[in-house]
Amino acid sequence: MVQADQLERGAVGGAPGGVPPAPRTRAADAGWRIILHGVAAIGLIMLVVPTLIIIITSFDTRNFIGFPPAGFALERFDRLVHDQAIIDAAVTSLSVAVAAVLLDVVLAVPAAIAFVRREFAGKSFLLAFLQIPLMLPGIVIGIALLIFISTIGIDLSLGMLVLGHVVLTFPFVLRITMSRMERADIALEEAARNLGASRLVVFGRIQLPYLAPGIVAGAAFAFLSSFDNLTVSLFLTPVGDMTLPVHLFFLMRYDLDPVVAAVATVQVLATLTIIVVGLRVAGEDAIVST
Amino acid sequence: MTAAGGALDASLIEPERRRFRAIPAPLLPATIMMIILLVAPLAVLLSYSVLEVNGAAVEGGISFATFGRLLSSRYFWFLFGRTFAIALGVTLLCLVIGYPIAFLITRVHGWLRAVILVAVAAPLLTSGIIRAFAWIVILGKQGLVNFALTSTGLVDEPVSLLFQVRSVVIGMTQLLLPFMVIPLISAIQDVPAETTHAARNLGASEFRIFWRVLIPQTVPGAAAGITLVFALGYSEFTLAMLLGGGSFNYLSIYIYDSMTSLLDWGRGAAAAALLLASSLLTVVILNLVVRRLTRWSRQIN
Amino acid sequence: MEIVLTGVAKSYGDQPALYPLDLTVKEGEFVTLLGPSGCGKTTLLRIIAGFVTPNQGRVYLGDTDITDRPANRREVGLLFQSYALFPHMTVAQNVAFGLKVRRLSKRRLAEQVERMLDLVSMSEYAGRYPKQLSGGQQQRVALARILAIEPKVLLLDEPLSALDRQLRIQMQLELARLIAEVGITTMFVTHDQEEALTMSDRIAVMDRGTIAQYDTPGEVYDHPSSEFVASFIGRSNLIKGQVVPGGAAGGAQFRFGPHSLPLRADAARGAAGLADGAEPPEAAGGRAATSGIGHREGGTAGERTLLVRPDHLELLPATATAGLPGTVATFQDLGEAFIYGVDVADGPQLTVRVPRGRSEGLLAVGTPVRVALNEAAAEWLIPAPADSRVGAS
Repeated sequence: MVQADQLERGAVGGAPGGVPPAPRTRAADAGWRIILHGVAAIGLIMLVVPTLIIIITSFDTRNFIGFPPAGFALERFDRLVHDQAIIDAAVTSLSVAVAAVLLDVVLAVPAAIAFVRREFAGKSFLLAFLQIPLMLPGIVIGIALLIFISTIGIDLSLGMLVLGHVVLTFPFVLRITMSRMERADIALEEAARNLGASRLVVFGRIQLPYLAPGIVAGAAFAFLSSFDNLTVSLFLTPVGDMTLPVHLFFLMRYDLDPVVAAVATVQVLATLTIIVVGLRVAGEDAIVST
Repeated sequence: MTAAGGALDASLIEPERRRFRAIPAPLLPATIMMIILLVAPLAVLLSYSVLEVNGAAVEGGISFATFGRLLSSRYFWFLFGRTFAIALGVTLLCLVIGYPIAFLITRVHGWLRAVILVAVAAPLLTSGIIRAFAWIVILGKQGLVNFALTSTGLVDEPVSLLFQVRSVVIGMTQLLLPFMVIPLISAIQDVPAETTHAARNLGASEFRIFWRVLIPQTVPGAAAGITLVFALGYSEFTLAMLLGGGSFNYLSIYIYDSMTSLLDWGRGAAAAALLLASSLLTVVILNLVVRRLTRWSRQIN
Repeated sequence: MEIVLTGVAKSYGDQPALYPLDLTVKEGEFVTLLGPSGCGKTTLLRIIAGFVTPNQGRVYLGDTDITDRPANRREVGLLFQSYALFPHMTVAQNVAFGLKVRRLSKRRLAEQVERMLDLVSMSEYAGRYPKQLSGGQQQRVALARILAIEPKVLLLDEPLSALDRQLRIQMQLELARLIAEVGITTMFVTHDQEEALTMSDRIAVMDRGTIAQYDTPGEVYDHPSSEFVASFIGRSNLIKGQVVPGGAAGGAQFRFGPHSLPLRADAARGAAGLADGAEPPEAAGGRAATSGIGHREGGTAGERTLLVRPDHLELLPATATAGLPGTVATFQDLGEAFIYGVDVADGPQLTVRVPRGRSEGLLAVGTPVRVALNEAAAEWLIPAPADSRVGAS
């Protein structure tokens, strides 16, 4: 229940002054409020419970998926650690994500600075253009790339997969970096130029240090997107070398291995860590910009 | 020395030299990347839908046969309708559940608000696979819900909740709720407090205030949430695949099958093109409807 | 190093910002660009610094044409209103920045940084970060940072606006002293006329994209060339009236309403000499000792505006015979003086400044008084617009 003292003053439920509602409506108010809070509660439970369930289930000891768990042990984690296929897939996902993010940063940071500091013909069009991947379903991007690659005769490889992920995650890094750049003080850059700095020096010694937190936030976001991605990876993953989501996908389709629970928990915790660390480094404005 | 007294004529100043402002160099790598890795593939995709394609290779010239096959297939229309209906259903569910959550967030402050916001963001912490897995644990024959139902004696046998339409709907709703709630928060916060205060002073019940004063003013903002949730639900793949089970089909699954197991790339491409087009069309129509509603709600005020 | 601008103009689209102007700042001079916001003073400064490209005209540093040089190759130092200290560098690193860019050797760099910090008395703060410093301290570091690269010219963009009044006055003196010590040619931008009067060798008063007057502080205050300049600098009474030939001593008269004041026959400063902006004749001192109205040329007849500074007026009791009769309409207590608005019978409202020591207390609204010209002061007839010359060299 919502505590009374946390209700905003002057909100619908507590406007000070004015005519108090008739007794009939007061009862209706209470009833309505119950409904409202009830639905919200259902929604919040729906949002949170699945994640909690995963963590709890990963300690189960049985050989199949069920709830509640029969026992609490680290059995499934032990199996996870010895499952070479999963570990390989995780490493692959990691390398692909890191490579994609590096490329993203190299492409997006200069672009972000240029968008904020320069005026040119077709600027808003280009900005929208570079964010198109955000509007397309992942599956469309995936199959488009698949057809394209096979048409020009290149084999599927991790390199191609990285490029696919770059397309997908580039807009995040661009937006977040731009958001940070928009709040940069141009006087600092001008002062540096006045003191004799070339544009390159201004970029390296003034702009980049300022952008760093934004870049980290964007990189964290892009990393998670790439690591968790299935829709594009499904089509571009080379046969022998699967990313973790793809591997798990096939695993879950044909044989519901309980070890997936352990993987899930590890992933949730890792994601949480990345987000917390990312926020620490990037600071408050990272939240604002996302 | 110039006499600056007397008539100050702007024509004294020569016009600025117009330097041609082309795309700055720092933007070129990103632009080229997008063109090569997105525009070109999309063009090829589109072309595959209007060429004669056999399996994975182009055989002939322009032909609308593939589209013809699809659009004349009853099964395809059934699939299309089901995808649309499910997406719409999920959108409505998100609307119904999301509004109270967003409303609650705007009325609450401090640590409680932070906690609720984290809860809202929770689904985004996990990847699609993990989410699907979690719902399997919850909805499965030996899962949480069945455990609750059987142990309390509400049912005798475990109920089949998984691998059917309802499991997909539930899973998608959880996934897409944050995308509805967050725009709604802004929309509700933008409603001027005076309107609800005024209604309160006039003695209206909270129920009435909610429906007659608050909701109509949030319609434009809610539109963002609606279009987002619909578009995402319409093209969702992972949850449909994993929670729907073997017999469940969805437009995205259809496309996946065409591209991988069936190796009918022409059909996959055509279906993908239709997916894109219909998604876009629906969003446009939704926006028009919202605009009409906004005008109507303004007239009420 | 001299700064010379010829025919410099700037517009943004079809909005003019600066009409074609010439300006010369002599070697070692401290010149202030003074004017209300929007007059173009900052634009002019930034043109010299290289951050704004003029539509036309050339900018010279000494003999060198720097108009086409990029902002980082101009050897001018620009002090920003916000100081623009790099927040992620220490004081010492800030000061060293320009030197590092110039690839100075480590030893020479360290020496120069030390010397500069010493110059602005900030040596103990070398390891601090800008956010740990007060506004005044930040400004000193910013100055040190600029002077470290030994620019030919110093440009200051309203550097004192962010400071509170007491600190501001203190910094005005300190800044002026420091700059004089270094001896660098300086251009200073401000909207605060007191500041301009205090610190400058010459002031360029700007109005909507043009230079209205370019003269020493004394000249701008005592002999403004237009009503705009007169009312912008200090308090002023601008009395509209007519110059009429005749009257005592064969000169002319200034008439407003039923009142008139004599114009001195010998007060003409001579049009040609002064319109070129040359130094006013030494007779200025002598002239101030005699009363009457000074003017720029031989008192041509016609509609004119008379400038009477509020401190040149006195309030006499209503029973006195000198001066003009009037009633107190408004008053302000400034602490060091009272400012009265007196409605003169058949005349305008005049502002009179009465130093606190010289009065027996606050006069109430409605008190009848007489307003008289202080015999020792000299008034000034503002040149008619057609005759005003804007000397800018």
